Amino acid sequence: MQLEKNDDSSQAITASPPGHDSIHPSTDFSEKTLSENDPADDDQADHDPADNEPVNTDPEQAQPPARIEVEPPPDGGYGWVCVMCVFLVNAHTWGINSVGSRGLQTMLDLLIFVAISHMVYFWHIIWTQIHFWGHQT
Amino acid sequence: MAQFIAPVATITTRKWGTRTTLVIGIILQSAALLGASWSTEIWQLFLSQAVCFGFGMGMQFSATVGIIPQWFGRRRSLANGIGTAGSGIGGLIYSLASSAMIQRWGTGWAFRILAISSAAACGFSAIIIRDRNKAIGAVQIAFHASLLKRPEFLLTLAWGCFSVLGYVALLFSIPSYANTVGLTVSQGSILGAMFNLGGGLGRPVIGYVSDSFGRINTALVSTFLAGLFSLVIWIFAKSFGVLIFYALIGGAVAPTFTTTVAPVGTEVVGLQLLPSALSIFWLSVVIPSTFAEPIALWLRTDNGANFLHAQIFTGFMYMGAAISLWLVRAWKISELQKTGADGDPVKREAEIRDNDAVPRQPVVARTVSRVPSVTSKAKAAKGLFTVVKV
Repeated sequence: MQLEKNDDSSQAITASPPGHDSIHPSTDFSEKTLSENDPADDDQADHDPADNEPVNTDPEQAQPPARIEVEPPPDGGYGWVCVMCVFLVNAHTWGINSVGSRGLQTMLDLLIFVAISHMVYFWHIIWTQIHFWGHQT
Repeated sequence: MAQFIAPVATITTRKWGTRTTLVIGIILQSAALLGASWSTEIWQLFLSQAVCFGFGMGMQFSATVGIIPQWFGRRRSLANGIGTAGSGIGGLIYSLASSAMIQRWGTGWAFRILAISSAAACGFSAIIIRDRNKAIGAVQIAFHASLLKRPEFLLTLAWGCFSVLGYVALLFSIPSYANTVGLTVSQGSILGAMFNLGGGLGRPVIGYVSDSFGRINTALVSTFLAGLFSLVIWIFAKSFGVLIFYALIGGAVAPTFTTTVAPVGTEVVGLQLLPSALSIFWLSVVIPSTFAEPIALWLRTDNGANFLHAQIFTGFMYMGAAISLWLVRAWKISELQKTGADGDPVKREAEIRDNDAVPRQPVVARTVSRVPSVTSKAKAAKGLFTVVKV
């Protein structure tokens, strides 16, 4: 699987430069070469233009890449302001959360615990009843 | 409650932007605190604190958690660590301040002061914060189901769920454990403050290490250490000094998943899908975080005096989390090797976009060229033991 994919991409890369050289005389050829290229890289169709871009010097043939060009993260600058904002937001949400609702949280846990222990208790009763009747019959 | 609102926050961020989501969160949170200050019945307190505060906090948290990775590439984890350290520092300051405020002005005014100060700080942040969702073409889908078909993402979720089980059980058990070993109330509150301080100081350090040592590597090591510390220190901590030591180092590594989920998530799904991935992540940790406390309570034996089972549970949950992340790491290594081998252009461009994914080490290329025809399974197994920065 991996090797096959490898073959495909290498074929696509080696096949495309002659195709683009032969495009220049007429447009009919371009249609033909494109359709010939298609089955080779049908699953990689969307990145093919980007891949060919360095090879192709003719601006008419160079398809603009479909996806958005992404600039790298600035790695600083206004980002540090955002870090400060996130710091403030975290301090005033998680910070308050860790102290504000401690008593209430404990109460909620107690409620859940009581509910679960009741469930466990009733399950235990049912289970022993089943065993009891099982032994009876 | 806080994690439950994450998909809603994702949708409002997509429709109205980060600022509006933050403002909704601030309004909910302030209303909750003000409502708590005037409430007389217990159900009012329950509604305001548990429901309204949780939703408000979740809105703010979900809106801000994905922003820092968009601004930073090389120093992403350091910046993220500094940002998330706010929760530790805030917990430290508020735990000291709230008791003083309650003593001086009473509970009602303490709640009102909390409401005013949090609304001021978060409102200031909401005004000046700026996201780069448009610049990177972020995909903000509340429940991106196709992500669930990716095993590496499921393993990341497993890491989160196991970590949450351990973390909540730990947070829940520590105060009553302090009582059980004979500490006074004030010593217990100092312990809680040290836990917060450990988080506040430890997270930037973990972030700094993470940038040079690799994001997944660091998250893996800290998760493992969190489990190890609870197994080898907490179980044997009977005195105040040892417990303070445990609170400082355990507080630094125990909340690893909240600190590193954004950088690790970026390594797993990429920067564009990160908002959608985080939405699912926070939704999926709701169930473990709800059940961790009853489990921890149920595991106490001898009328709640023996914590050994709860401690072992915490330790092994962290170990399980570490194993899940280990498998994620193996996946990432095999993925990097694939891109190193056949030069898949999609991946290559993804690496250019997310420049941390580029296999800088020659080690990768060498191992690949030496064994070109092994099966993918053998490669993945090899990835478990390859030493590389990921």
